[in-house]
Amino acid sequence: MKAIWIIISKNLKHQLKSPIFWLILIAFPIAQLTIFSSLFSTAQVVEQTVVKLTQLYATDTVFTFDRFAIIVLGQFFLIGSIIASSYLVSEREDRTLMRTFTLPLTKAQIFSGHMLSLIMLLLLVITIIMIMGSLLFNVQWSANYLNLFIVTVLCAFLSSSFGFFISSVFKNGNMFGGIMSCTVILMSFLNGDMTSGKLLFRNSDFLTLNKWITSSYTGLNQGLGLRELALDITVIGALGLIFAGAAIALFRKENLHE
Amino acid sequence: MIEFNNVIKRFGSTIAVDNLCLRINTGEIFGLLGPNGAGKSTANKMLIGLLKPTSGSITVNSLDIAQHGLKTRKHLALVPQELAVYESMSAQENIVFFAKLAGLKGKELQNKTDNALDFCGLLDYRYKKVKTFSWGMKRRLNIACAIVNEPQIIIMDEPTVGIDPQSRSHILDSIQTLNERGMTVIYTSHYMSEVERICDRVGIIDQGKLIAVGTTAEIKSRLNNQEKIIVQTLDINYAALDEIKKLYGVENAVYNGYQLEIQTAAVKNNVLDALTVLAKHNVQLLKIELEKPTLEDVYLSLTGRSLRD
Repeated sequence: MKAIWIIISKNLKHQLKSPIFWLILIAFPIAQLTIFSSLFSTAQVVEQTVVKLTQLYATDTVFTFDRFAIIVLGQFFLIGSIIASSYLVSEREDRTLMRTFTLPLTKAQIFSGHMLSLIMLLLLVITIIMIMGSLLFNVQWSANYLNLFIVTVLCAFLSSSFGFFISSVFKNGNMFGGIMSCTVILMSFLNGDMTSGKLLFRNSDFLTLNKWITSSYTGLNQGLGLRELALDITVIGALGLIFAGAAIALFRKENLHE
Repeated sequence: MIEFNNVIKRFGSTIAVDNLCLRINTGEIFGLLGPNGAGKSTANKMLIGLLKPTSGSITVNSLDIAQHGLKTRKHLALVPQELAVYESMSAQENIVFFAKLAGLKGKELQNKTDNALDFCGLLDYRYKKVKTFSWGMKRRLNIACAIVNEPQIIIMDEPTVGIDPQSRSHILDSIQTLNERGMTVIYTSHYMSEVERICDRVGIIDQGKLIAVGTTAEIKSRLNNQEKIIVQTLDINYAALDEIKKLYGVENAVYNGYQLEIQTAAVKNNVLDALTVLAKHNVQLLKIELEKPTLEDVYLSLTGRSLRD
């Protein structure tokens, strides 16, 4: 357990020192929310003065901003997993992963250390985005904090295992970054995040991780309980386990360090 | 003691290590020589547990590494051929990280970290980021990270590649000091002079097979009946060179850059015969030397002179 914590603390320390972490994972989503927020408030003012806004429409608008916040959150689960797991690729490129394999540690300890640090980092990023979203833009993520916590942990697990899996497949950092970025962009298109909710083809969103993440957060936002979100949660958990299983299988390969 | 017992390692249809049987004694510096792709690094990686043998067994202090990997790795450390350090961290942070993972803590961790930094001449640079280090300093840090927990056996895979003579000399002296402290060292290198200087015994490996093993004197004695006549001359004509090549006992003669090298089977009168031919052709001699075979000569005679990938 101690060895796992040594790996976690080293990874977290490294990531938190990185300007990329603060710039892309914290400043960028907050900036995105700020822009969306100003667009929505401008739209509201225009509607109120020119068209006479009804109470129902105002409620819809608030809900729509929350929807955008959820989409941003969903994207940053995946972007966070790219940035955090790219560190694993550089560990392999720098041969430091190989050096840890020569130490009296099991591969399970090394895997757990890296995986848990990925999950913790994502949880940190998402928590900061959520708190800032709530404080600065009044986003109502959920009224039930326990449910919010459970869903967030599951989504962090899914994103981390996905990132870990992809980082175990590609040996080259540039290739990994490129493929992961394309995957995230493709998922955003398939999910309709980049086309105002329009899907590329029928049920194309089912092929994305965003769909299940945003769907569960939307449910929480609308006040649904875990029972009503059973399908989303089950899919998120199952996909997380599948990717984690695949990542473990790749991690067990003897030439992973090369 | 380390024993490789009929170890075979295959990568698909390629045999990287072919039925390797080798014993490395406790407390010795053992040199592992061989051309690129000969199987040296694969053997090292199998010993440290990075690769699994396809068949055969490797034991460290009578413990089979396949069954007691964790236990044996407590006594082993690898200095990899490539740098394996975190560039964004300081020298001390690197050493402490690997030392903690190796099980060190508290006062022992602090003392051994200081010792490793001091030993590798990095004490004054302990808080500096590795990315600001010279190549030689990085190589020394690479060693410090491996020796910090004072393992019984250290595997050094070409630790002096691409460094200046000062750093190289420092590293070689350090290896001897580690050995004097009781550490067994497995030293892989392409530099014959380094191997001759520090190794007690040498193994030559080629195409996965161990083709020679013994002390440097024993290995060199394989070419005991050979010697080299080196003649420095400003010019030589081809007729003289051909005539020398045809002399009884001469195996080869090459003229290259004002130097004529005559490889002989150490037959009596070879020197005299060669000089007679040179005199007959009015070749002006600057210097004559007789050279006994070096480790490099033996190495080249065993592994061949053709270029490898």
